[in-house]
Amino acid sequence: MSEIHVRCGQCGHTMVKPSSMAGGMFNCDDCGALIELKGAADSALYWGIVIAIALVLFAVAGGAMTFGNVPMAMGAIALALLIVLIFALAG
Amino acid sequence: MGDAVYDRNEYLLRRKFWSFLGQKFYIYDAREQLVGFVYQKAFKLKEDIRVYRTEAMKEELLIIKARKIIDFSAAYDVVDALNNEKVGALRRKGFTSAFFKDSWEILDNNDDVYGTLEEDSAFLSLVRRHLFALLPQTFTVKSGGLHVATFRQNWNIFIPKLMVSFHGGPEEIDRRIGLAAAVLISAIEGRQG
Repeated sequence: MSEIHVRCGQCGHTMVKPSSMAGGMFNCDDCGALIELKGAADSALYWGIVIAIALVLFAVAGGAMTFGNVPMAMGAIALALLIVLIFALAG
Repeated sequence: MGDAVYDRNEYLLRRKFWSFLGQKFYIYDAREQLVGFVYQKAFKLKEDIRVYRTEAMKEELLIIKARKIIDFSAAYDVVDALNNEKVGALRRKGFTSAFFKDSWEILDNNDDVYGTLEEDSAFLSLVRRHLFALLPQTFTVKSGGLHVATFRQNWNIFIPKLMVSFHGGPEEIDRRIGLAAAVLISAIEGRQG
């Protein structure tokens, strides 16, 4: 099992924790402070999906523009921006 | 543990019938006195469930938070909000829960498994999954091989309830993680029916 090295922001104590704890919480072994770990891979996947959806919608908008369908292009752009905004707030 | 909320052996979780945003549950003791109020925030991609002392939601008792947004075998950390102490974690066994019967692992602070939470009957579980979703479930909680608690759902489809019974004994499970498990069963598993 891979491990992650964590440094307590309060007392500076360094700990080794299983990588399964990424994104979770635990107490510092030394001072007991509650530490929240970031889940980097998870965030990357999340934002990857959001950006991919936005790009698809922008591509639809580009296609619509090419064929002169301005309302559809505007709608796709608005939807793309709305999705990114909703996901940014929810994430 | 300390707080009087965790002194009881019997609890009842009842879902609030009308809730505009997010799921809400009441936690009662055996004398039907309100001892906690659960609120699961809506529109949170990373599950975040809080247990409060009252419906006013001024004092947090427990924080139950998923580690990841997308996770087949989701793990939830349980933190005592009164003293910021992590009391453990609960991890759903994704494959078994999806196809066979609901199964969870109870983890200590180093993610080592020390207990399990499982749906009682594999047969009833399959019937529930494929034929009749409203069939109530019964869960058995084991710690160190001993049966330490039982969760029983009721038949009411409008106001689902979960009866929680902790059984005494030397290997008694921490009530905080036990209650967190009951909350997760009500909030997370409830959505799968």
